[in-house]
Amino acid sequence: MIESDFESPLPHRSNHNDKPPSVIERYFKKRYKTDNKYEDQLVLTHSNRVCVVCVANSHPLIEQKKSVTSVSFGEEGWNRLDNKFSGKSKRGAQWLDCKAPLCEVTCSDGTKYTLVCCVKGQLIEVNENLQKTPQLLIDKPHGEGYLAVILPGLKWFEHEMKQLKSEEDYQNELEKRLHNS
Amino acid sequence: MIDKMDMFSLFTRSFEETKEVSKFLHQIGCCIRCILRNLGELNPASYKLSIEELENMLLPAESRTTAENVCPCPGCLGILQKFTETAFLNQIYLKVKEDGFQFSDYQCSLVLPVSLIVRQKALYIYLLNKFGETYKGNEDKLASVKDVWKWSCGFKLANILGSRFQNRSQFDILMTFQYKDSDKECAFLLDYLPDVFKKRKQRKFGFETFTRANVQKAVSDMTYSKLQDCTSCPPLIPTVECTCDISCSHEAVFIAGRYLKFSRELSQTPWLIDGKRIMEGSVQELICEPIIQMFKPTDHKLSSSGREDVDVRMLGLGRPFIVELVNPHCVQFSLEDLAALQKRINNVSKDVQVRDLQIVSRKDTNLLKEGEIDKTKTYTALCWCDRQLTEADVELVNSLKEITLQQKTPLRVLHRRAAATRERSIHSLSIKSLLPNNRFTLELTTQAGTYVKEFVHGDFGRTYPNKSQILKADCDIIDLDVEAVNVDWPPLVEPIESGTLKIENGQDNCLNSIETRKDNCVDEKETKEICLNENETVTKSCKEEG
Ligand SMILES: [Zn+2]
Repeated sequence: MIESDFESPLPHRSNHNDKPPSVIERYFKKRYKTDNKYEDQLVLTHSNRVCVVCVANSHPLIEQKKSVTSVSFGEEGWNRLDNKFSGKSKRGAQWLDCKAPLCEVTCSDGTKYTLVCCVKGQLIEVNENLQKTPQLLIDKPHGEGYLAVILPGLKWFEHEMKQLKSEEDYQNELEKRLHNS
Repeated sequence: MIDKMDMFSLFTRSFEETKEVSKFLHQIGCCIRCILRNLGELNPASYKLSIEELENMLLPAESRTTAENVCPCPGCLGILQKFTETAFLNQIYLKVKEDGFQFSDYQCSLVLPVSLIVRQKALYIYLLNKFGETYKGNEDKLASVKDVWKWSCGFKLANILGSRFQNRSQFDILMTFQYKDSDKECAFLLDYLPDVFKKRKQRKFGFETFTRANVQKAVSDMTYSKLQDCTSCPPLIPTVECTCDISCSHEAVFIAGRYLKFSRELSQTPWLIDGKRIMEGSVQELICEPIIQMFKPTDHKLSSSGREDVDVRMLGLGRPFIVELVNPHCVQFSLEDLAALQKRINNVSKDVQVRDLQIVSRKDTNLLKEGEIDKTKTYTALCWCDRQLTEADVELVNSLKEITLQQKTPLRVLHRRAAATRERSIHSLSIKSLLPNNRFTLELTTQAGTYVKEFVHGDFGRTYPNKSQILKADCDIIDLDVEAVNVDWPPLVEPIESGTLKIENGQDNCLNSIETRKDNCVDEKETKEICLNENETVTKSCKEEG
């Protein structure tokens, strides 16, 4: 057996912070869709344009720590599970508008919420785990409880991003709501 | 003269008949080599005789060539006349010298005007009509212009070049003969077979109506009498001469080796977006630059057994790679030269080191591709968990074997890869050490194509199971090193100072002791896509994770 000729000259990068920056902090930008009923949503945008659509912390679902009994990706007139496509270009994927419904959430208290796409683009996937484990939506809203992945078209990307709120604008909006209530 | 004639093996049945055929062929303007080949001579040695010697044997004194009476021959368009003379061979010599190729033997290729096919057949029909029985059934038994050129000039050119002439050689001298009237002479085929030829007058065929293949087929399908109606039998003396382009090329040379990468800020291929460089340098450039300087190819391409992300180090024995050198001008190097080359590469940068550098055959390059499919890889990952791990956690993790993952295409590559859920295996997994601040090192061996970073942080639960799920606590990956790409190729090369450089063969080396497999990121082609796709804006972090 021949040993490697080279010794590893570098030690592992040492980072002594207690908590390293998270996946979201490292690779995603947070943008928000706010709503006068406070049914806010969060869009995590990867630098490659891929958008992960989530529920924002200010949404009544999270704010009031609701108990979710079901998440449905299809209702009368729309079905996000019926989305077959192929290849790198994702040909055949549903093209959805920012206001298009994504899923309907039913809670144990009888309330229902419709969550929307937030960005115009191709629907790449919906989080089917939410059907089996709807509570993920509340427990890990910005992780395993994500709603869907959408790929906005290159042409509309800038436009779609502009119509969402930045983190700063979102926080200001929350401040305003506090004062108003 | 009669004695000498005995060395030939001809269709003709008597010396008189030979003289008769020769006379007729001479009358229609044929050169002496075309006369000999149309007499049926197939012995290469016969064509080494000079034009004068052949004429002395076959033609009466008054009809021998003088400086004034040479027209291009209707049988070879002058290719076996002017283009066999020393003056032309010297032109080849100058071209080869100018291009600066290094070679020990050579082959030559001739591309002939397409209408020569028509002319050859017309010549045969003429002989068949004149000499009947002697030529019947002999159409395919004539030496071609191409072969006769090589038989006449191959060895002569070898002397001029100081090289050996071979039927097959890595170094090729290509002579492309252009004949202005070629299309005109084939034009009758447009009317005869409009379906075949008229539709070719389109851009997609490059307006090339007549090709060697379609003319050959059309002419051999035509009856003799039909062809006689359409074209002149015998063929006419050309009114224009051929011209010849000479070009040289050397077959690709493949250099294999393994590379190690010690930087977390180095991409494998030049990282360009919209033509702008995002990061200085690349593994490819650091390795290839010294190789190119030595072999002087016109083009080159690095392929490797998978690739690591920009921020991932490649340690251990390194990653097998091949550099294909297209049309190298310099190729004659010893094992010591290669050892010196390896040293030169390793002096370029501390970030990239190569080993086991060697020349391999084209056939062997398949071993790299085959290895791609079933290789395993061993990694060390520096991870973080949001709680302090215990000995029980270590025990739990280390007890896991053969974990089957359902891995959705990671978000970071989803924009340019098909969306799918792929089944991948983690063959082994163990926590090597527990470190302060909730950090730990994880060693794992995975199947080809497993995305390791996603296995650790879970990618929004899109890789399942994942480390976070196994430990029931959020996990993340801080740093990743590839410890081994378990491909048993290329052979290890024992490092030498000078003198003997030994390549081990059939060894049962350390590669086998570790389990094997594919990259946690993207393959070569996709890398190109990132680098070259100008319409797409890809920014840094999409390449960042592993
Ligand atoms: Zn000739």
